[in-house]
Amino acid sequence: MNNRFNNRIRPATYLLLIMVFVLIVLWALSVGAATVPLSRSLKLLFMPWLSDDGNTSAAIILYARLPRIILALLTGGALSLAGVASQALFRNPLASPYVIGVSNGAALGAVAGIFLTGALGFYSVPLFSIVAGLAVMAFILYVAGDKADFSNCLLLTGIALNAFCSALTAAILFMSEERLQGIVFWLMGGLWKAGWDGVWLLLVVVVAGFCVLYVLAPELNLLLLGERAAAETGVNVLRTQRVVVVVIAVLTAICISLTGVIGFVGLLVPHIFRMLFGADHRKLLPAAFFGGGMFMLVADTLARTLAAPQEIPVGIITSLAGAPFFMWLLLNKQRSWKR
Amino acid sequence: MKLRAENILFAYPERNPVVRNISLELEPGTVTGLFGPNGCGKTTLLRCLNGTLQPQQGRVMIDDVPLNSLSRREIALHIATLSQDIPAQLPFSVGEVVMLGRYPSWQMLRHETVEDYEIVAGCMEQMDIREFANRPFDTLSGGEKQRTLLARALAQQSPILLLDEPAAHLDITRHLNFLKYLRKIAASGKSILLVCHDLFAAPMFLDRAFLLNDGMIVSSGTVAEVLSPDNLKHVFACPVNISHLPGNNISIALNMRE
Repeated sequence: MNNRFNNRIRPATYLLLIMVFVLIVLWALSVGAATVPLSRSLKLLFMPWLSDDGNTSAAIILYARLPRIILALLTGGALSLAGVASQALFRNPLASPYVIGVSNGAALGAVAGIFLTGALGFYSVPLFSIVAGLAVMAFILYVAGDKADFSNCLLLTGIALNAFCSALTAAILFMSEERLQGIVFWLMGGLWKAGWDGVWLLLVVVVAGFCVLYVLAPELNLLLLGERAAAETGVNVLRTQRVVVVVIAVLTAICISLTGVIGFVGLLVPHIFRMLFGADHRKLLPAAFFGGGMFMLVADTLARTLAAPQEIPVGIITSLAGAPFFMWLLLNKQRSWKR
Repeated sequence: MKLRAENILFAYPERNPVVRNISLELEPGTVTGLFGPNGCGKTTLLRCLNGTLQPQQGRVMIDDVPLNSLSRREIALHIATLSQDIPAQLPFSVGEVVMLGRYPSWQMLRHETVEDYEIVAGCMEQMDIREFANRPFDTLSGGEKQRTLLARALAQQSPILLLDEPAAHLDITRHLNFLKYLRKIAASGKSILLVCHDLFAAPMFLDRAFLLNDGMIVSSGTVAEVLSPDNLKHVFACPVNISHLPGNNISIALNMRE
């Protein structure tokens, strides 16, 4: 938006990002346990009537890799969006969508789901997970009520609930015996369950979440001034904060229900793009959305190819990249929140 | 546009009232000073006047419209407030911060117009920060930050201005320029309320004043009436000499010999 006061971003940067995006998608499409030449994948996608070969590569591309690529782009984008929103809501560069407790709630729900049903089936676990995540959200909204220090209250309640839910999760792990491995594997996070039906639901929710946040972008900018100053400049602070919390919670809960707990995307990516694009949310939100998607896609493609045909949980890769960055951020807190 | 408080009382939860029985009116075209010792309720009164605090008794009106019937956005179109606190960290450039003041005039997904850029440029010019437009806010000095936030409040272009110690971090030259500028915009019909501790420069630029002590207005009227030696001695326990200047103005000097 504000090119006159923020001259760091040039059209070339956008062009570069789009090129990188296309290259990453093509790469993700063509690598994997089974080799499908890029030319054949492109033919399958854009000119399916010309692809004469057998059904195996078509099935791999259309029913395994493509939904998985879209799932990676959407969850990465959604977690990164939720991260941007959390950092604005709490006016804290170290905030992430996981601080409000919804993530551990959703994880607890999924773990309980696996424990109770014993099935890693597609519907029961995500359902448990979303319900638990939203229950945590309702609880923190109820506790924070309309208190004057709403965002502080959210943060503290979130921290308490995070601890509570992870204790319950640990208790279930302790009792789970032979299901332990399945639960631990789920908790580590991964996109191996990708299928078209989960992707459609996610697409609708993520696009809706993005639109709501994008409309609220000026309000998020104002909130960085402080709650009182934002109110004095015309923002309905409490309403904005509530809507933003709901969006963060819904995005986080649905991502976790489909992929498990994937760390650091919501913390790492917003900072990279804040440094590139500035803190104006009208630019930052779209940039962080695409950037988060790309980050997740790269991480997931590495996860399924590095040790192929074995799959590394993607959370290991995102956190291995994320944790050193987080420490660097702590050490340079002042500098990184600035431009 | 006239801002009026009728007999307002405000108390924070489970504490004694901070402001009591306060009635006041801000006339368009005037600069009014609000004086009083630390903790006497000046800032609380200001927050009641801009609706961020809701008085338990009495009401605040803009012309004949009660403040609490307006949305935050509608209030911001009428009242611009500069509060004392300066954000510790703000990841925007100076120009972006000033542009935040244009927010109340925006509609959903329709933001900066050419006119907004002109207004913002004008306000930055007035506050002498135009050359910093692209600098990160966090790299500014205290006074420069304050001028940036002032420009943001001015950019709201609202007819009523409530300023809580706007000159606390300004050097004397910019302080005087700012007071002159307030006089100029008051002449265009704005109502301005200035909370200040400055008894020496500010009184020369004020039309009227209120003196607040312990949550109540103890004196109101012209600057000469309000900042009289008796009042100042009573409220601040501070002996002063007052010289009367032409145009109902006064100049106050400390008199420590007394």
